[in-house]
Amino acid sequence: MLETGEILQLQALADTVIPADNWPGAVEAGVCSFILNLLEHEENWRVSAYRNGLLALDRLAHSVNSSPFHTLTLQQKTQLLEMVETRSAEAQRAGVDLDWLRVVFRHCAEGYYADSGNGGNIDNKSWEMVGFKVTI
Amino acid sequence: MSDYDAIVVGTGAGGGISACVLAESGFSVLLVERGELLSYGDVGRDHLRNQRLSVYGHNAGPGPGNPRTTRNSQGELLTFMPWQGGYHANAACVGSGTRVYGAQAWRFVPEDFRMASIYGVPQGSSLADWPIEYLDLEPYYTQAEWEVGVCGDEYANAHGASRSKGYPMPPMRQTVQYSTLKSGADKLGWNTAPVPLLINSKEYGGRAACAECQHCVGFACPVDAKNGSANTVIPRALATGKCELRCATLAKRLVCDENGQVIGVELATETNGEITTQVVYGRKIIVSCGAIESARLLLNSRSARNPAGVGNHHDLVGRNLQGHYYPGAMGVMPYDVYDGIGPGVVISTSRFNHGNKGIIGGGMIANEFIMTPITFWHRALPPHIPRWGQANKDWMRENYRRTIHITGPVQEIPSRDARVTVNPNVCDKYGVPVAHLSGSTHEETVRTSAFMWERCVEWLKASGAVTVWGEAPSGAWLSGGQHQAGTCRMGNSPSQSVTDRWGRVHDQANLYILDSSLHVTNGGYNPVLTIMALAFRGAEKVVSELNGH
Ligand SMILES: Cc1cc2nc3c(=O)[nH]c(=O)nc-3n(C[C@H](O)[C@H](O)[C@H](O)COP(=O)(O)OP(=O)(O)OC[C@H]3O[C@@H](n4cnc5c(N)ncnc54)[C@H](O)[C@@H]3O)c2cc1C
Repeated sequence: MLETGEILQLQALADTVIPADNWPGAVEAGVCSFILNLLEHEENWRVSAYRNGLLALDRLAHSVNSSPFHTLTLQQKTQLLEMVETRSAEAQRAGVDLDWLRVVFRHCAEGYYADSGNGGNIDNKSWEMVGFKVTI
Repeated sequence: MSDYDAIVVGTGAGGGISACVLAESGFSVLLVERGELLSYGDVGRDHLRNQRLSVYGHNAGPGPGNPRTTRNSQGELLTFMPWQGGYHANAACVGSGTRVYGAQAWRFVPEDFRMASIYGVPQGSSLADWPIEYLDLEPYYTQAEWEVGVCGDEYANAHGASRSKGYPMPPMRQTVQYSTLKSGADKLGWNTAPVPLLINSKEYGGRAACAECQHCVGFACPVDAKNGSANTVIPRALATGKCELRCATLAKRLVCDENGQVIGVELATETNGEITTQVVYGRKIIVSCGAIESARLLLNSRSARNPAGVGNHHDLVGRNLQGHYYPGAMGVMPYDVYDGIGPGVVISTSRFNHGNKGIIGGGMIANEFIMTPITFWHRALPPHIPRWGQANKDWMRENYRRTIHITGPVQEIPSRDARVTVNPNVCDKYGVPVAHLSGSTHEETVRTSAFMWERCVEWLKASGAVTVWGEAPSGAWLSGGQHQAGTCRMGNSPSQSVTDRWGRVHDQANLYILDSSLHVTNGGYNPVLTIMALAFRGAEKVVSELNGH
């Protein structure tokens, strides 16, 4: 499974994918527990993709911002993800896999918007945010 | 030496009714189901594992150990788990799809039974007329509506077809989406109708009225107001004391006598991981496994007299697999159109089911069921909205309640090459060769779908949508899935069809198929009420034969 340092990176990434505003960001909503749970029980085969992806993202952070990914501001992290999405030369050199990143986007959304029984969406905050109310 | 008067395989839409009609007529019935009896809690409310969004699994079966295969365009063999798209699952539990369905309860219209006569047969398609007409089925539609329980508006839903009786329950409550879309349709001059549903809009059949929850399609009902086989006809069958229900039991193959006539079924039952097999004999055998699995069972039942499988002397079993293309468009309205009143699907138009210039057939379109937020994220985001970041979160927050989704099933133009065979090299957990799927729909289906997609867009715009998106269908692929049908089509000619006009396999005295496999064409409507009507009609015929008529 992912180690403490990697989890720190994952949290930084998740909070870039779903940033906090008046409503919880990904980490506060439990998205990382959702992802760790998924990697442990459902998609064990993706652990190495996560590990490599987080490492590559950190390489990109060092080459662009000369700092580890998890210490960057939201704006800096957002810029890095945009570089990956537009397949910039630096992102390619750092070896960040866009397909993996798209899976992370999906996993974050699943952790944020699915039922809390899946380990994320703590207190159903995202449902309150969008206006999905369970009446029975 | 029969153990039972009848053995019914499968407890879904067709099987449940068949067992009920036979047992209530005093005959002994063995009702076999490979899945389990699922409680409300068993089905649960997992937003990532349900029969509507099955990212990591689903909630009404089949489970692991039941793969299917196909080949991709490069010819590589692909194996699918039951919750993956290429599998074309419906469900596997007592009630099958009817345990968790959306319960739209449409009658096909008279034209749907005469597609070839009306439109001609497009080159390369296997389009054909049914051997029966709407009026042959009408009394049984009525029976299904009253005995299983449908709510709706018989005047709005007439579509030029005659009805012997109205619905037993009024339609569901009108919602904000209803009035929004009604005003759009009025501007366009389109007639609309409330969507008929196999749901109690008031107390009915000794069960409660719908609680208007937000988890209808893909889930079980919290107040048991959704009417399916598991809470209507199967309890009735069991109450007679004449029907024995055996779950977690697979029919491996049909057993024949020396003349190749089916007289029994070999069953495999799983108890605590142990598999035991047994052959049971019946005077009548009814196969109701759903279009893909019924074909598989017949094809897996080879013998000296039936070298290509039962009922397959003309290489027809498994062919003409069809479902529905489902074109759809989404639009954002200038105000909230979400009021949380489930099931959500409430207004439809049947204006485009037929009579579209230059187009073969058409389909009904309606607004969509309430989507859970994660289903909405997966299915409803416009292409220009990023899948991450503040923009994504803002969009979800601002538009979940403002989006209307219009969609509907398009009448498919069948193709002989869209088919089920069995893969002798890949077996399920019982050691039985699995279904292999191949081929694709006919090009005309794609053209009709593109036409219907434009109607979805038109309706949204006329209703005031600020932005509209969604992809027009392009490309022919295999459709089957939850609306799978057609693999053992009925007909008058034994060389052109698998069963007769009642569902009896042509060269078999006692073997009936009563499920979606019989559909010659699948209508421009959700199929279940037609499956139910055919089962009431076919089972009545089986009863008269058992009575010696
Ligand atoms: C989420 C969802 C929503 C739907 N919504 C609608 C809707 O709104 N309107 C509509 O018209 N339709 C809807 N459907 C489709 C509808 O449920 C199907 O059309 C219908 O159930 C098909 O009936 P059938 O009798 O052909 O087969 P099924 O209902 O699939 O029954 C077949 C049964 O046979 C069992 N079986 C198969 N092989 C074997 C074997 N060898 N031995 C023992 N048992 C076997 C299966 O496990 C299954 O339980 C929906 C389906 C789903 C899943």
